[in-house]
Amino acid sequence: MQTQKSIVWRAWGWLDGRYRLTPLISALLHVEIPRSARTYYLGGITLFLFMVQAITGVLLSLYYQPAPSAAYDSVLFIMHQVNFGWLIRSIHAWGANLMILFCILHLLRIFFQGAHKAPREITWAVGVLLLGVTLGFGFTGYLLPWDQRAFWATTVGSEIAGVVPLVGQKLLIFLRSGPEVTARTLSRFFGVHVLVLPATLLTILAVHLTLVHQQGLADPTRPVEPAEGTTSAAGQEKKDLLPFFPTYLLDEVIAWYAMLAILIVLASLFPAGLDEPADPLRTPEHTKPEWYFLFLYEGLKLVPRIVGVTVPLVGGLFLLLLPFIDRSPQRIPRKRPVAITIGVATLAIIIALTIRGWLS
Amino acid sequence: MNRPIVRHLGFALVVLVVALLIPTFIIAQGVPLIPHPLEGRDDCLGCHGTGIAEFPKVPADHAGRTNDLCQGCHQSAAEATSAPALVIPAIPHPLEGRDDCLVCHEFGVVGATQIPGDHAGRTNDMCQGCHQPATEAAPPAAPPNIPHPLEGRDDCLGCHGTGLAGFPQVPADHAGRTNDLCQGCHQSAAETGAVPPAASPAAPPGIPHPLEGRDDCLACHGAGIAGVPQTPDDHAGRTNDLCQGCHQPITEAAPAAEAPAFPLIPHLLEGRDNCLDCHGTGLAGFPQVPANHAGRTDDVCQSCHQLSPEVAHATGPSPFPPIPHPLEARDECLACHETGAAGAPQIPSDHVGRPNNICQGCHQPEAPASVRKNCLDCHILPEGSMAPEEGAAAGGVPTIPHALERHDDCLACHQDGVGGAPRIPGDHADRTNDVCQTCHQPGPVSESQAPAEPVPTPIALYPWPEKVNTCFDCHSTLGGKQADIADQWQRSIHAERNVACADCHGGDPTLSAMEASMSPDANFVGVPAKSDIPALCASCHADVPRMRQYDLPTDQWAKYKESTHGFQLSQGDRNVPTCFDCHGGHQVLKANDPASTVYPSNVPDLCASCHADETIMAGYNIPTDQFDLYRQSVHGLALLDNQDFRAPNCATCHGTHGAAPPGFAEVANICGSCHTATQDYYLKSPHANAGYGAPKCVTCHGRYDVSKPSEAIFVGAGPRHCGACHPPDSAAGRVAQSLYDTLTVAAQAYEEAEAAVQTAQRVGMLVTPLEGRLREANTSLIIARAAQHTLDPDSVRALTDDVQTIADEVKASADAAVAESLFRRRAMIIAVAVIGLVITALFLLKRELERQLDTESYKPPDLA
Repeated sequence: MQTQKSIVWRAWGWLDGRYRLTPLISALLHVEIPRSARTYYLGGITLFLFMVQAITGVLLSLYYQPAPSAAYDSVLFIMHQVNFGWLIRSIHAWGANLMILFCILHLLRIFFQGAHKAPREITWAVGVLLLGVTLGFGFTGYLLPWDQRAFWATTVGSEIAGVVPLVGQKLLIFLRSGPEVTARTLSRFFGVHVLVLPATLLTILAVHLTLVHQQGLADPTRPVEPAEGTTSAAGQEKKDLLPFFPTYLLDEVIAWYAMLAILIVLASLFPAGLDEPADPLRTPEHTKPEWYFLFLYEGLKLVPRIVGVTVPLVGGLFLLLLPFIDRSPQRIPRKRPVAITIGVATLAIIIALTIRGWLS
Repeated sequence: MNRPIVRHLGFALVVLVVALLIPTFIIAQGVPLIPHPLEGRDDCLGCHGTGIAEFPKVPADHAGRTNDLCQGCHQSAAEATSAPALVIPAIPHPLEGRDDCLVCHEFGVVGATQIPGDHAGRTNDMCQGCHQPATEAAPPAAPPNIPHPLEGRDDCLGCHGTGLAGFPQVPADHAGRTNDLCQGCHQSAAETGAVPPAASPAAPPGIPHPLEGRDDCLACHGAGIAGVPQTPDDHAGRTNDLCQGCHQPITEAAPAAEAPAFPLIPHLLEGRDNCLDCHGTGLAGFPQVPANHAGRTDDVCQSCHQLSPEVAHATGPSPFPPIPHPLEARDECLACHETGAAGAPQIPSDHVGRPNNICQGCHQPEAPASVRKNCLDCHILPEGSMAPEEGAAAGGVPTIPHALERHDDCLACHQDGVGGAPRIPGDHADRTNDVCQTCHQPGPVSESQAPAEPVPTPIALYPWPEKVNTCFDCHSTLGGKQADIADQWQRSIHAERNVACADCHGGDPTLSAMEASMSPDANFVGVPAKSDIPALCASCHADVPRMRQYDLPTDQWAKYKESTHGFQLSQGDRNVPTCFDCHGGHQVLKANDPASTVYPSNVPDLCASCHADETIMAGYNIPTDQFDLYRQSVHGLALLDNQDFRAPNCATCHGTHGAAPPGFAEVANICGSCHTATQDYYLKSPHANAGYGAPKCVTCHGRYDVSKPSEAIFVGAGPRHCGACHPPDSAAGRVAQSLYDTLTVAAQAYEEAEAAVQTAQRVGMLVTPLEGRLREANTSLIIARAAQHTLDPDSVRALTDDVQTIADEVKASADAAVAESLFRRRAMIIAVAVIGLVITALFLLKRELERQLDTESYKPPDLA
């Protein structure tokens, strides 16, 4: 006797009968991943944090008012009046920082494992763009509470853009929608933060995930990637492979839950703060941008402006095109000492500058 | 027995009996007794002859009888014991001076017993015929004695007529009696000896103080001011002229033994009639009047306190140093003696705070200048010497080579040879300024010593735009000091503004030959004399049209001349700074250049470079610790450590070019130029209006070492505390305690609110709005702390009430935020626990999946 199927399965059968979804889902889920291709959950957590940001961001936008006269008060309203408003905003603020952090850690993991190398050049480049968009989220979102810290961090942050050679001044005016940080800046940042960047990020993320899906995860234990056009699972023994669904995905979900717990703890113990309302006529004694821009800001203090801006720009371009520049197929770190040395040195410099900026 | 004999005998007996009885009968029935005493009344017919005034007239058959016969028949009733005594009212009052009985008794005026109707027509001289004085046996209702002396008090009714002020009022039956009657009945107790006034328990207190000059008893005793005994309530309405009626001076009785109870005045009184100026506040160590003297005025002091005999009759040398100089135009004693400036003896430490107007109370001019003998009146000049008035330096009497205007304090320079002035010889020691010119006469004035006036400099002769400056060209190649000078000038604002070497030093900078460019023909000046420097600089800097373009002030020269520095320079003192010394020599920088020596934060070091130097200051008797004190003060820390340019440097209080120590009375204005609100409050306070000796800012806060003020200043008796002047149990002491309590409570409320906000902030709660409110409370607290200078606890309390209200509100909100944080943390634990459970479940699921994978039993779910 045939078992009575649940309503979910029956609904699925109804849809599948019409749209032939099974091959699509199977193609998405039933892939196999080498057991040795450890990602340390970094990319997955970044994705999870993006989803958290999207949800909390939508909730915040229900109350937030993007005008200088109202923005600060609306944030105060969210913090004090809206049920769990403080939690939503605190998670959004912490999620933003953690998303950037995990994005960077994800990038570093890829770099040190050589996973960006052929045939994954495009995936890497798209990933670097995702990092750029994420930083854009951070930069634009930071202004929105319209308190002193937000206003002046944006002021000094956008000044960094102003010293870019040739287009600096135009870039600054484009960013601020005028020569100063004003109501138009706030309006522009809000629009970019909730419309332009999400659309951009979703698009690029879709490309990134599709590329990852098509190629599978790189296996760091293989010194050289198999021939182009194959997936990472090709040529592997069955016992060395792991089903993406449900095993691999379950592992990720566990990590996501852990991250959710961390977010709740951070938001409860260290809720998002709010400085005094923005006052363009009163410059605080210590103004500095957020931690992820600190190395740029600090660098500008130490070297001539042109150097302080040009070097990060060239560095960013170098990062974007890294797989095309470093074309050695070798993945094992100790087999590529120059790249690793440059990477470690760059990282050390960035961390040193950040710490110096933090302490200044 | 013989009957006829018996009859005869019987008859005879009857006749005898009748004969004996007739006169008795006559007396008893027909001869009236004399009802009145007979003493002094021997003229019976005076009354009875005519029967006046109802006296029984002698019967007609008595006609011709004379006075001497009357008592033959009429006997005194008093003597006729068998007869009842007539009751004749005695005279209840003394008779002395009262011989006109009828004045009162005829009509019964003022309560006197009216004579009966049958007495009509009786004359005064008859009264005492019957009515005798009752003085021997004083009746129980004897009139009260007069308990007070009578001298000068003959207007009894003035007091007793209306019962004024508790005096016994005359009884109603005395109505109409006049003053001259009173003593008829009422005798002075003192005279009667009945009640000695002093021994009476109700004796009026004696007057314990001399009376001379104190005839207005009620001025003090009326209101009981200043601790003197107040007149009792029952004395209300009594006037000064009555007091001594009862109250007698006891100084006679209690002689010198008690006199020292009032401290004697140990100083001369001339010019010192404002006793309370010094003794009112205990200024400067003077004994303060006791608390029970509060309210007494200057004019009563000497009533008790007498000039000490030692001072009054001093014959020997005065214990107070005499004033060895004339006093004309020198009434500002403290200008010199306070700091010991110009060699004047410095006042002892216990004189600090005493004002100028009391100096001469003790210190008297040694002798009028006019009394001094001209030396030459006695002393003959040596042969061949010229008389001093001829202005010669011969005879060893040097002439005065400088102008005397503003140079009249000879010893200021010549005592110690300040600034190169010739020092007075040893045998001139103790001579004072006013005798100098007795011998030393003004001579030709040396130009170099004369007060310099601005002189035009050749600035216009060598316009810089030519860019020719051979001075610089040459000096910069000389090396050493010369090159340094050239280098310094080149960095200066003067070089920038085209003011070059020749503009100050003269010479022609267009000539390359040194001999020509530095020749007298080229107006070469060389190194200007120090005394010429201020004027030299002023030739440009006091020139309004020239300075206008730089927006620079032009009053520096005028101020400098009024400064202590400028004055000393004019006295020939070369230690004092001129423009050159403070503004950086040749490297004059703009005052707002941080490298400038006169930049605000550099000024303390600049001033200290001389004023902290004991060697330089030794000749001026000026302390050298000002910089050290300032350095640790709130002002020094703010300016020098925090670079807070709102904080004052030396020049802020002492002036820059017009530098001089501000007077004590000017202090509030100096401090108030920054502490404006505080000054406004202070000016409303009793302190501001209590005269010269009243506390100024520096009294409580110090001068150079101004420390951060705290409420602690209100309590304790140490220096700079309220208790230093006001005992805690005085009215002012209670005000201080009230201010302390009010401000301390408010400050504590503020601190508690602040701590609560910090706690809320520490647990991550949003406190920005609370911080804003907290700032409002702090502002109110700051204003309240300034307002305490009014010494009005009520107005301070009005402000601290605001602090309290806001602080309470902020604390409640902060506490609520902390409670909210606690709730969030508990909720967090629950949420994390739930997630932990989910993770555990997922982990178990994962292990199950891996087991299936290991046993190859895993199959992808069949979606179809």
